[in-house]
Amino acid sequence: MSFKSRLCAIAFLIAGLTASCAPQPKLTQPIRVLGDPPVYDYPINNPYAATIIGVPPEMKVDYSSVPALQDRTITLFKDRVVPEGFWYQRGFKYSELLQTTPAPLVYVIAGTGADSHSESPHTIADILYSAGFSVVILPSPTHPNFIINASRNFITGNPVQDSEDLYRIMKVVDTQVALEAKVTQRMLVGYSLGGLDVVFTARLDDEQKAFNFSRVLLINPPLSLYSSMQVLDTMLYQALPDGINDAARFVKTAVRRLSRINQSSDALNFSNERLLIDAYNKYQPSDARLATVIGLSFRLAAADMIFTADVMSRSGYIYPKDRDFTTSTSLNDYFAVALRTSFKNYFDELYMQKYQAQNPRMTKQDVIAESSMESMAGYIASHPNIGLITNRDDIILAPGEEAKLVALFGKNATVFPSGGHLGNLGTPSVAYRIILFLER
Amino acid sequence: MQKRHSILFACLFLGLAGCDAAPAQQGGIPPTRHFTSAAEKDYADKEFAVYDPAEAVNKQVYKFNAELDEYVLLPVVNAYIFVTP
Repeated sequence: MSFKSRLCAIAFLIAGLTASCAPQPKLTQPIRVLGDPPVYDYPINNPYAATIIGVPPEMKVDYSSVPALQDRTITLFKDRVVPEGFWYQRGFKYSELLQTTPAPLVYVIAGTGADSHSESPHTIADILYSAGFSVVILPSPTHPNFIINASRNFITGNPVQDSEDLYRIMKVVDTQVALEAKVTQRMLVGYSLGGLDVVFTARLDDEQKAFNFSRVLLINPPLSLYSSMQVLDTMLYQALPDGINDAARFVKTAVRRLSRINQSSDALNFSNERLLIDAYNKYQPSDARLATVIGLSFRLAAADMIFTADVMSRSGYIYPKDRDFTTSTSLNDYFAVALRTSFKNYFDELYMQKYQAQNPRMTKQDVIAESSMESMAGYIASHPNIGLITNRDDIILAPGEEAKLVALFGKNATVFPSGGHLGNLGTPSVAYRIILFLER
Repeated sequence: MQKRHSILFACLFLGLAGCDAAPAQQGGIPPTRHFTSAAEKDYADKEFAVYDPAEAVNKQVYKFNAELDEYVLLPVVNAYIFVTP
């Protein structure tokens, strides 16, 4: 999910993106040819801290030789009228990194609220391109750009329907890629919520056979969308009993603390690489505070998603359905209300209403079960080309869910003992496992 | 000459304000979710909202600048980079 990258973005913003004068640590070279597996020495054992901090700078792999992602914009619905207020989201945006020689193409599906410019898909693209794969990164169906330009009914969050949207987009993107690169075979990788989306997309491909994915890999997926969203919703309240009404004070404290880290360092050292880990070591925040940071970041992503879904579908949920949405519309009040809307609110009040209108016999439990990984158990068991990489302490999984997830994938599951949610993604060990599964 | 420039700028800004003054259709149907109490609205106003009486004009100007960048300035810069040795 995008909360880690959002947090990093906020932290980097605060630190100021300036050239580093500090000596750079010697970085690990990318894994190109598989030899012995690297030793797993990820140092952060607190799953909340791991999720926020990610990989410490001295452990990062050197991907400086990987070219920059190329952004692409396409129109999927020619007749779609997008409210003028969304002028900055014109056209469906995705990114690609294509090899100049014939190579397998990997479609990467981003996690909740993320697009190709988030940190995790960037890391995955670096890992894959270095190992000789071409890469296309698609935004999550929960990202506003996707909802506005690619979603059919705008009420996102149902993997069955989201995968149909994704599949249709991939067919269009594939014809564009064919103009630029030679593709030998196609694979699918999804992280976080994207992991759930790729299983449903792979099942769709079994019926339609447009891609014949040779490998499908899930990285830190949820077992149940509904359950993980509730876990994340709950995290917000751990250090904020009054929820959003306390949030401004909490954010101000966090910003003040982060800014002190730079003040106390060498005047010439503007490097922000260690900002988060230094802040963690200095202040030793409680698990409750760390959980709240994650919950708050998730709430921001959810607010984006819910507001966009509401305006586009003209549901009158947060934004009046009979009011134009233009550049000059003041959004303060709607933003404040959206921040007070949990994913559960959205699910119970908007999402269920829309799905029950389509399928009156579907109960809430039916919809939750239908969008769970467990509903795909038979499909996963009968497809040995589907694999899983997760962490024993992934914070988006409720107690007992990690074991159920691993049981679904059997010998195709790789479980790391630490890393929280995607915190260890940039380590050589995880890169090795990703490449090992795709090249097997 | 100076005076003519001033008038030009004044017209430009009046023009932008004119865009903004076109009344957005106000919603008559209240949305499902809204502030649950006056205190909540008060808190949101104090803590999250930024005092910006010219918000609508500022947003229009931001949009104008972003589109100028995207469709005029960046293509010019890219063309310059492409042709210069």
